[in-house]
Amino acid sequence: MTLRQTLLSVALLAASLPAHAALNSPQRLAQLAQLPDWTGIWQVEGSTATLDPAGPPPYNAAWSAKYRKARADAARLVDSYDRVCAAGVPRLMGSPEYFEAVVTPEETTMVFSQREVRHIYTDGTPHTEADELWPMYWGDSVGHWEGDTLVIDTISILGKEWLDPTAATLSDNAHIIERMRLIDPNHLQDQITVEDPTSLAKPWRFTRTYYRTSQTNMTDTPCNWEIGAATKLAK
Amino acid sequence: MRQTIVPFLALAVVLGGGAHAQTNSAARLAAFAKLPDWTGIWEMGRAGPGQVFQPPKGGKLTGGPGRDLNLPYKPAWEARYEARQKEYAALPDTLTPPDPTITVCSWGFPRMELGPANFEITVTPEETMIVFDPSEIRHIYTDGRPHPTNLTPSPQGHSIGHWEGQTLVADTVGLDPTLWLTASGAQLSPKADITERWSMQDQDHISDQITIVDPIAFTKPLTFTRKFRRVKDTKHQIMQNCFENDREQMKNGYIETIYSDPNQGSSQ
Repeated sequence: MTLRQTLLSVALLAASLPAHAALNSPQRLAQLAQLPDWTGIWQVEGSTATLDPAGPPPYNAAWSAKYRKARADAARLVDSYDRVCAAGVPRLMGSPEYFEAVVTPEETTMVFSQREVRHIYTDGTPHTEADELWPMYWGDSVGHWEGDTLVIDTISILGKEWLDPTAATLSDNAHIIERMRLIDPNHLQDQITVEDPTSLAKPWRFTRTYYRTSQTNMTDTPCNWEIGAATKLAK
Repeated sequence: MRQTIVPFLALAVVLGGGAHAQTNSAARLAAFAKLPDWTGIWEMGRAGPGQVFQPPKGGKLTGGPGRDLNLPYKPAWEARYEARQKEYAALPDTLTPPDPTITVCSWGFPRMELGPANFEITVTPEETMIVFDPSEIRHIYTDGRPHPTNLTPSPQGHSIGHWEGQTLVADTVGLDPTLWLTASGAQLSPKADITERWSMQDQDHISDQITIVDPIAFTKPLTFTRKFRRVKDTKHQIMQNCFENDREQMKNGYIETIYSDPNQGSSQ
């Protein structure tokens, strides 16, 4: 083989290789081997009238009074979900929005049907630094795996946003711990504990279960979406 | 690589024997082994990698990301677009064009990739999911499914794809034609069909070659490439809510911003 032929062979080989060899590493595959497969589209079972089907949060005295007044006024107020197209956390976990859950070593991502996203980082990174953290609809979530259970820790939620149509709310100090696992091939379960020293008399514990839907394609529209809306507005 | 994967597949078989076979199956792990790892948050490069458009011709497509994208419009579409430009140029300072990114909080595809939003990519055997921080999500299904027959137009359309080595080839149809392709009001027709070739250039750069075929609006296919760089100063993507603190209202088909400070402009 001449030098020219050799160089040509090397060039052809190089051209046949991907631009950047970045296949999943053996380490990442080993991590994936220990993770559950939650592939699918899920939707909550049971009533969505309140976040906890058993009733309102166990408010302390001051917030009980506040809630009674808000509940009485709820019918004439605008539900924050309608106002900003965001259920947020924890309301999403009791909302009728269906969701896709994608589990990777670095995070579990939950994408809901009306364009809300929960990022639950499981890569060992801590919560976002305090000076870069502000109350957000979906809060700031980190997690870790205890066997087949994803333990989620969420802070920095927007407490003022409604938890359900009865106008229940929390404070921005709420701390939410969830334990999420597959209880059979077609059901995910989320055991939710809300601690909020500002609004609650005691930790609020409840469980929601999600069934595997027959849906295969996710939608990508916000809650107010209307086909052709942009054109109508442009007239 | 084959030798290093085998022990993990064997491990998967052992771990996968639980009550509900909850862990990833050996077949799914084998599929993961053939896929690239694009984990991370990505953003548009500024000087260099992201700037691949040709210079504008005659000042077309002014005003915002994508302004240097030369669309091969057919004469009727070109005329409509030019008329829209004149209409918008004549607006008073208090009104702005009815950009769907404001009126319905939707950039849609492919405009989202022309702008400054960052995005997170998750590659699985079933799909590649792209989450943009303004809460717009693309699902590129790679499980062999076809496009649905009765597709409702939507901001991201419906995307299916397949892998050619480590290049993701995606095909998107069903885009809502009322959305804008650029900030200056360019649009596509309902027949637009977009092909992409996503590939990683190096550890910190990923690119998307986009080809738009639109037999109704274009005289020929339009191909351009977007390049994105890895975000290195955070691993946590913070989502935005476009509907929050809305200070815009519609007035005669245009957008009027409501200022709380009367010194800043028009107000109610």
